[in-house]
Amino acid sequence: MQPTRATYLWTYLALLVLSAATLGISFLSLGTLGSAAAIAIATVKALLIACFFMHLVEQRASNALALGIAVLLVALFIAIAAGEVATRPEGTWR
Amino acid sequence: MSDARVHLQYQDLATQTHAARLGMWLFLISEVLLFSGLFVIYASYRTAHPQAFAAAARHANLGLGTAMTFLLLTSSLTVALGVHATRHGARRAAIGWLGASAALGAGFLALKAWEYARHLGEGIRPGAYYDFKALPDPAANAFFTLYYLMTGLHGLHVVGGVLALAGCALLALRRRVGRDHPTPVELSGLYWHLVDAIWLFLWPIFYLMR
Repeated sequence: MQPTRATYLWTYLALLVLSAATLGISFLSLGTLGSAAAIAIATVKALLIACFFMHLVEQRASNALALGIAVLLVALFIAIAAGEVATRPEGTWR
Repeated sequence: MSDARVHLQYQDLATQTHAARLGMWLFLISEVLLFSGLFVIYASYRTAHPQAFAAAARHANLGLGTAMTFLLLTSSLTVALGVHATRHGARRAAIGWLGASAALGAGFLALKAWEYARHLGEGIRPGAYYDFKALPDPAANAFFTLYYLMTGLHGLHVVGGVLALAGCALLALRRRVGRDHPTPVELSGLYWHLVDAIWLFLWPIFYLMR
């Protein structure tokens, strides 16, 4: 199944709406929660791009599997490194 | 029934095309890993110095960053339409969309260069050359050094992507790509979308997380 031009236009529209949402949320000064929302929305946008603009939906699952594993490992990489810094005892080097 | 487009080692065109796409995906994943190291450094420093990072992000030019996001998102749409036109043999449309995409990428680079020039004029320079009086905190220095590193590495990828897209428009002009041979355009498109996707994370961490 190949996407039609309408698929691309809807994807683009969704990306613009999500970008506007991220921009709006950044004015609410929600601190850590706002940062988490910004990254979550960016992840959804990247997935939309991967599925439709990059045609993952029409290709064999092995391509999506390679990307999925990479995303999982990068998320672990960042979470473990930042988690280590966050849980250092007071007074230790930062 | 042999197809001249199929190389010796593949049994049919579908297998060859799949191999080309999978190879491109593996390359893109190695690019993701290259950037992920920098994202880890950012996440670690931000966790250690949340206030200084938020203050530095407040100094970023939100309007410029948002404009750059808009340019790249739009260029991803035009690339997708260019790939679509190539697949369907609409040669003129393909040349137009691919050329427009390269132009949008060049516009992104122009905004980035302007932003760099403004920052450098204020004394916001990377590492030991940092001399920004309003934010003397070493953590703000770390923020802007990462800003130059990550947006600079991303900018180099944008340069590569613009050249690839312009090259594809040229190939379409010379009828070297088309309905029967869309793979070079498809793979360049994949590369461009990855460059766009990476920016989608750079935008919040350097402009929005204030």
